[in-house]
Amino acid sequence: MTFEEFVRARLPVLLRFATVLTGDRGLAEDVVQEVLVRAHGRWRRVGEMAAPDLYVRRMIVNEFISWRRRWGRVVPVETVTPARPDTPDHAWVHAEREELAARLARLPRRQQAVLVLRYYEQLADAEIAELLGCRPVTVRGYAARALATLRVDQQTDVLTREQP
Amino acid sequence: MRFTESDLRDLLVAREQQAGEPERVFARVRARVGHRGRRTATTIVAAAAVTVAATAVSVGYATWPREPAGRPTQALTAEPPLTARPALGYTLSDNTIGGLHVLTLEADATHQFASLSLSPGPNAADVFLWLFEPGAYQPKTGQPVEVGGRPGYYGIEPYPAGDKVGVPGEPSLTWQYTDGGWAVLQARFDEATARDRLLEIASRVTLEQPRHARLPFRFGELPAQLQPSGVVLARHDPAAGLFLGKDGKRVMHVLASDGPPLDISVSKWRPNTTIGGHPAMVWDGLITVDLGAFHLQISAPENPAGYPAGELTRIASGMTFADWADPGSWFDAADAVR
Repeated sequence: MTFEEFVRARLPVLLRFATVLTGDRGLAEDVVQEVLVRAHGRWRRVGEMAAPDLYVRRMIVNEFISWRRRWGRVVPVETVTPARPDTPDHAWVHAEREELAARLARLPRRQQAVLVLRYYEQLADAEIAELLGCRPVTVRGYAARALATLRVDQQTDVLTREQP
Repeated sequence: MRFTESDLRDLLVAREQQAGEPERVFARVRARVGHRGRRTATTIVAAAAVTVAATAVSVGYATWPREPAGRPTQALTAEPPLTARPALGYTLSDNTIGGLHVLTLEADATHQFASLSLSPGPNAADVFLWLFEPGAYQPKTGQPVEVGGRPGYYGIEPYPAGDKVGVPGEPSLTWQYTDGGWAVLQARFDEATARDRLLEIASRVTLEQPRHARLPFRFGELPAQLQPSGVVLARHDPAAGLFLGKDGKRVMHVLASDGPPLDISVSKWRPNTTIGGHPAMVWDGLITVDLGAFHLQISAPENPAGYPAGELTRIASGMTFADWADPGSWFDAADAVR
């Protein structure tokens, strides 16, 4: 697969992943652009991997984690703008989601990445550890601290489902 | 205020909707890659010149083991057309096409695809060629042209095959090389000269006698309904592979590549098991097996059919391998499943 073919086929998916990861459309575009330019430089090897998509996703995660340090960019905290609510119930949900989004954006980047990889990409902790270059126990530590900061109760979904 | 894991999941999924337009990012990447590519090419040429001058030896690179030169060819538009091409085989050369150098070659039942470079060596692709089987592609019209006495069109067209993401178009030449069969040449040439350059390349495209793709592996068994659906080869950093499909979609890649596994992979090469006595690594839907002279990777990138690692391991365990250095020992892709 050529670099051109890869980008044409995978760019929408990579942009969605980066947007979920960063919570910011502009930052996501910057990160993906930077990563693809660097991937192009080593495409002879990357393109022949059986799963170049995984490799590029790892680059995106690492780029996101190191972005502020290298570029000094200030990422706005309030970046999530869901559709305008039209009923009181929707307004309540909207406010709750904004509160959660604001807390998420204030987390350290590694903790944000762990949550996105676990709850959006649905990766196991061992897989996240591989991606981040750390041990699974470290991933669990990041996740626990992040969920505590967000005041997200772990396994509440399971408990709710099990209730009669 | 407290939340659930479901709230967090919903928030993340909702963020998808904010993703930007791929076209804009594509254009920015292409602009930067273009500059970078020119710099890299200049650097490579300069380095090669210095090496040759200093040591008086030729500069080489690993390439695909080639069959003897001089295979008979005929013009693409010649009558009568060649006999039918096997679905897992080629009539395009794996060396040069239209005077350009082949980087990769791909084929399935509907078409052949080649990425081509203007100069020899492991370069970025300059030109793409699709050769569709009769009835497999219906082109849009454009500025009328003629190639080998057959009708065609020139225009700025988007990608003719694969996942369409609405990318900006590129200079494209489309012509009917046989009844109902269309070819497409696409390049990043300057639009002022693209039409004439593409016409010149098209006039030089030839076909060889149909041949089966050859692979250094074959399967003992495959999961139900999974069938070989396409083949691919890369000339530089040589590799040969097979796509496995289900319900008309490619769901699994099996790729044999020269040399040991690369440490550049998403997961560092850390063997965690053996398959058929060979060091192997099973990780996240990707299986890598180190076979010494080459390595094998099996993956289901999108995992749409739900193939777990155990299933991929069973596939790898049942495979037979040829001698990488002796293409004569390789298997016909048509016999990929014993």
